[in-house]
Amino acid sequence: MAVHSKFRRFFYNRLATVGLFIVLVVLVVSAAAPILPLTDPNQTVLTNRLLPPGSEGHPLGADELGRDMLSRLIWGTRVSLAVGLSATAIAALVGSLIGIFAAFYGGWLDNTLMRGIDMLMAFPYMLLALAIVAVLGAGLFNALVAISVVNIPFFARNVRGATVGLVRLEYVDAARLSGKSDMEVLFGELLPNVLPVIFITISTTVGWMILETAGLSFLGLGAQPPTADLGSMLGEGRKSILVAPHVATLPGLVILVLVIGINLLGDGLRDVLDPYLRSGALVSPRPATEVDTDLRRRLRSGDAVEPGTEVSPDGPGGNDGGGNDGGTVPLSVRELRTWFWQRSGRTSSAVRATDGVSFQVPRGAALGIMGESGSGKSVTALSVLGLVPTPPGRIMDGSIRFNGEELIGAPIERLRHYRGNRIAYIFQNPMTSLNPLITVGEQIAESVRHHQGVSRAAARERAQELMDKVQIPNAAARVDSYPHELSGGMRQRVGIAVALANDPDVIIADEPTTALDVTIQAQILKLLDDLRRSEGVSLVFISHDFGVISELCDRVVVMYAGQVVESGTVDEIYRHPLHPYTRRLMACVPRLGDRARALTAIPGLPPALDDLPTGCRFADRCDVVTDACREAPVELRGHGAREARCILVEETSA
Amino acid sequence: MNASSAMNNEPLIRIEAVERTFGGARRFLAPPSPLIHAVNGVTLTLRRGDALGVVGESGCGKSTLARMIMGIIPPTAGTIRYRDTDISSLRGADRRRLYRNIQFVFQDPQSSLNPRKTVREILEAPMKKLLNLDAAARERKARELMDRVNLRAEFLDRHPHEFSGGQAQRIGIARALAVDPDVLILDEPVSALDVSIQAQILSLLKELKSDLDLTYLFISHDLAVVDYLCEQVAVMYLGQVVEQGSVGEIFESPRHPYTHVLLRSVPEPGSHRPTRMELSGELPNPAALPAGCNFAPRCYRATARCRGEEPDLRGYGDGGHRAACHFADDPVPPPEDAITERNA
Amino acid sequence: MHRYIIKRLILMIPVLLGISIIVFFIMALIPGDAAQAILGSFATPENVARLRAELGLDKPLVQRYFIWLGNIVQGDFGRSYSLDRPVIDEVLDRLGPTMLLAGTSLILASILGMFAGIVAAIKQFGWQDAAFTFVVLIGISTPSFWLGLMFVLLFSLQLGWFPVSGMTAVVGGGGFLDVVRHLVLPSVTLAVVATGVIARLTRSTMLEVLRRDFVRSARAKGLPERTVIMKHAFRNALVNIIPVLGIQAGFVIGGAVYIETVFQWPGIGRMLVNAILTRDVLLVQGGVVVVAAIYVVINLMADVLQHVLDPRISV
Repeated sequence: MAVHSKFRRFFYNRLATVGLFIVLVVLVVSAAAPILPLTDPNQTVLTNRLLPPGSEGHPLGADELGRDMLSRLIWGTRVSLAVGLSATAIAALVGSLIGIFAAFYGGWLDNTLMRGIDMLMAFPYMLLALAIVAVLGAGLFNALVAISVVNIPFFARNVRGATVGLVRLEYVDAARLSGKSDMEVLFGELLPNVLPVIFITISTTVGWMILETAGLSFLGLGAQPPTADLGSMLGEGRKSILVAPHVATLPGLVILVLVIGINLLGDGLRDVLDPYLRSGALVSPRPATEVDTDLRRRLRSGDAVEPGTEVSPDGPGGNDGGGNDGGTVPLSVRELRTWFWQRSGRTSSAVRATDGVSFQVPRGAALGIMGESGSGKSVTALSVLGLVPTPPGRIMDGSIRFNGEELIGAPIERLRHYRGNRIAYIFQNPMTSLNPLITVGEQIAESVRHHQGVSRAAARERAQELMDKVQIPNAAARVDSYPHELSGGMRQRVGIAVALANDPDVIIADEPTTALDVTIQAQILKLLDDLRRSEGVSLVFISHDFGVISELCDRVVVMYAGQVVESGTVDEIYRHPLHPYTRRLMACVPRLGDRARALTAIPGLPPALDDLPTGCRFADRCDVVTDACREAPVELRGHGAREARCILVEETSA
Repeated sequence: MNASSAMNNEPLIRIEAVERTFGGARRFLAPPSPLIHAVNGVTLTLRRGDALGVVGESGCGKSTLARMIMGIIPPTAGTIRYRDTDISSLRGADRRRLYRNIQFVFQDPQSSLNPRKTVREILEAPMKKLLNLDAAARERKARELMDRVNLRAEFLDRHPHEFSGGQAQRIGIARALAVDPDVLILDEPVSALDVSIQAQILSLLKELKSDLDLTYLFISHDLAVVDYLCEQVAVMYLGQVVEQGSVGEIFESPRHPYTHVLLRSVPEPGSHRPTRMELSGELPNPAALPAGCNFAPRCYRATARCRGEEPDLRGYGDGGHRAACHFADDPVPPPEDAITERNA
Repeated sequence: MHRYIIKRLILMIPVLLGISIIVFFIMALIPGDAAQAILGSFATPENVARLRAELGLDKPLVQRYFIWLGNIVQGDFGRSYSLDRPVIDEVLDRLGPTMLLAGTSLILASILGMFAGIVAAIKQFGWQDAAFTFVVLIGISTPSFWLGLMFVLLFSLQLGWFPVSGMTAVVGGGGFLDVVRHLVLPSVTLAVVATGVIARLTRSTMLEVLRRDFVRSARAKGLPERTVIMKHAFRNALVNIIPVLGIQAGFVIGGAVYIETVFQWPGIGRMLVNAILTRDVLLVQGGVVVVAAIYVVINLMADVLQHVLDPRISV
């Protein structure tokens, strides 16, 4: 199945198919050279000297000795291909073995082998090839040896790099614990995973090696008459370039087309084989999340979701007056749908990361958004200022209002005006979300400068103040530190200082303590709690941990499979969860000092977000599910000051 | 279950004064790389039928300890014994024999399964290599194992990437059980999983332990999980065990200030405002450990004595409760919001 | 910083020694006898023996290496028999033109390649990206010696814009503008391949960096896109690009061999090819050692530059 889909992906890549076609044609024609009706490539007919292309019997003309160009080109391609491919095979075999053994055994073997490789790489590439040919003498076989040797380092380095990464993986340890010997681990576990890297390296070097062998022949150091490859034909044709340019032009063109074919094919193979490329790692996100064109149009015509019109008119969110309420509700999200469009072949399908999310953040309040991975909590947070990466993300529906102003579809300048200024973010991993090459002080100061237009010196002073405020010891000195010089907890304090830089109205914190140890988490939570109260800022706090949310937040929104399933105050939800998911989630978290309690796990898995059921999304894992649950989408309905998305709530609660 | 563990509490694994250092290599034209004591003189005993939790924050050496028991990395000093064999120096066939008795469950379920192998190949490898079972017996046992960990037998022909994290971890557990070991070393087996999936795995582990009469060494940073699964616990800080004993005693009446702090740092659902004390400062540089007690620079009770004299791990009462603190006789919980002093 | 440079300079010594060992022993492997090769197959055995003694070829290999090493440290690479002048003089004469050609090409390729790579990365899926893919493909698939010929055909023979070959005009040449006119075609030809490689690397590195969390952080601060791209993304990409520029320098120097042959450029590459064809061992040896040493220095500069950019690389 996997193989099948790889083929499909390959053929959807039109350029790769073109490459494959070129390579196949060249391979077939040069393999068939002996049976094709060609004149002897070495037959010299002096009367045909430098015959131009299109001449009778010689469609591509003849060279300075009157030999048929077409025949010579086909036979020459045969030689060039054979030499290039053999050189690749030798370099790949030797280099890969060196790389894999060096990585696997490490220590002195690794050191010795890789220092040797470094030595080879200390020479400019061609120079070493020339030196080897100088020793062995001019000749096709010697050129092959030279090109192989100079390419060994590429394979050795790439394969070693890939293997070193794999050797550290736990499945290698696991294989040892299964009783496998070194050789079994090396060839049974590692090699299959290294093979793609070897193929990728081949695909990038084979074209190059054909060019290089042709080059040596061109210089007169490769193929010697009467043997001719494309390079030596080109070299000989150069003498008559003035009178008969086709003699030199044609072999070069054949090389060009052949190598283009190989490179296109190689690129296609790489796309298929490289998990890194496949994961979409090489797609750059745009400055702001794309908004669906249909939604844009509706927003312009005032047709889009109006706050409070679609969901639960009697719910607590229902009486939000939208724009006019901006005074008390700075941030209001309604029916937000941010989907990820994934492509497989020619069809694309939507992963409904958030699918109708609504909540409000009153001024000065702290709202928790709780959910497991894939619940859509982070996507919700990032959607607010268009930070969901596009591609693949696209906002399909909904409304996000900040102090009454619609943010979805707002011009990028407006979003930039709010970003880091009125609404600021704190991200999960303080190591990766700070730029490693810029001092932490500058990372705070640049935001101050941009939004407040103050001088460098003033911004730097402000940065230091902020670092004091987030209780970074010795801020005056730490202003010039780089992120890697700080501990995890300190880095997250810097992240908080960045968020506070322009006294924002709302701070959105996306799992800011998840990457930290508990004692450091306790420090950061305390700091956040103190700051939000002293600065009067509204906080949206995203977490998978109800305990953490309890410490900080007044209200909490529980998300499951892209939807809000329940909202209410932290106390209410803790004491009396309405939705079966919330109830069961609480029951399956182990608690300190509650040893006797049995954990009742929720069976099964959340539904796939690109293949959602019609009815309740929790139905398959629910212990009180009824037939009615699966029939139609379940709405989020108000229950007093709370909301729940369950048709059974009346019966099970109250 | 407690009764059974009391009946046959023979020591299975004895870790004695084990140390492991990293770095310290001499470098060309530069000071030597910093020498880090990842594990710094740990003595622990794992008894048959017990579940011993090893807790601590990142960098405390708990995973290094687990890897040394499995021989993935050798200790720099000290001995690790399984029954009567010193296992830290086993090689080749002897080590493989050991793996019939001790097995390991990894933290990251996906990276511990080779993406190119089917579940069947993964489960059958240890049966073939360590137990020399024939094909029919392996097939039978693989199906049994899948049933044990609540996975369908038709999953045997799938590849790891077709499984969710929780399912992959079940496969990891099944692989560890394939040789019917006495002891499982579990290195943070649920920390990569979502809450609802974590509960499934924890219940499974609890069930397996009593059904198969297993002994667990359970590495975790999550105190609540250890509280749920383990009877014994050892608290580690900067490569040393600072307190150990039964879970009930340690978690209800801790004697070491660090244990106090750790317990108090766990956020509790339903409460409000982080009013609890916060631990001052951060982990000191492990390459430049403080003199005296490692915890002294962050401790709310530290005195001049603590900064000069390293406390021994001493026993308190007869329940095997041990703590390494000069004030362990008179444990005092941390004052709320007391700590304001910070170390730069 | 100074300490880093000093350390790297000291670390260069074993690399240079390694190079000298490899070159010396490769040359020592030459089948047949250098003396025989010099004197030709009609030489009398007595003459060959005398020349062997003169060249020190009768001593043990290791001893010969140290003698040779002692000599080259003092700049004595022996005498080229085919040119009948000291190897070092010939090499130094040829070095300037090669460095001019390779340096111009590398600068050209770096600027064009990085610019194209950045544009293609930020306009991903746009026409710029498609055009970029096409140009890069041609760049990395074209035999440069053939491209040089085509350029000569078109720009020199057909259009007459640039001279066909050489570095200076035969009559009244040698002025700055004259050299520039001669330099255009060879340096552009030589730059084509390197541009393709640098552009491709820049694009993929930028795409990778643009996905990193800190770029999202920069955007979350509301910084203008130009700042996000150049200050946050490109600077990080540059850390990965610079070592490749060092390696590309090696490819450009190597590629100069073809270009110098095509354009009759009086550089080291053409000297080496001639030396190989005439089996002038000492000249090959001298040329290879000097160019390799220069390449080592270029890589050292790339390392230092990377160190300046990236505070994480420890001393």
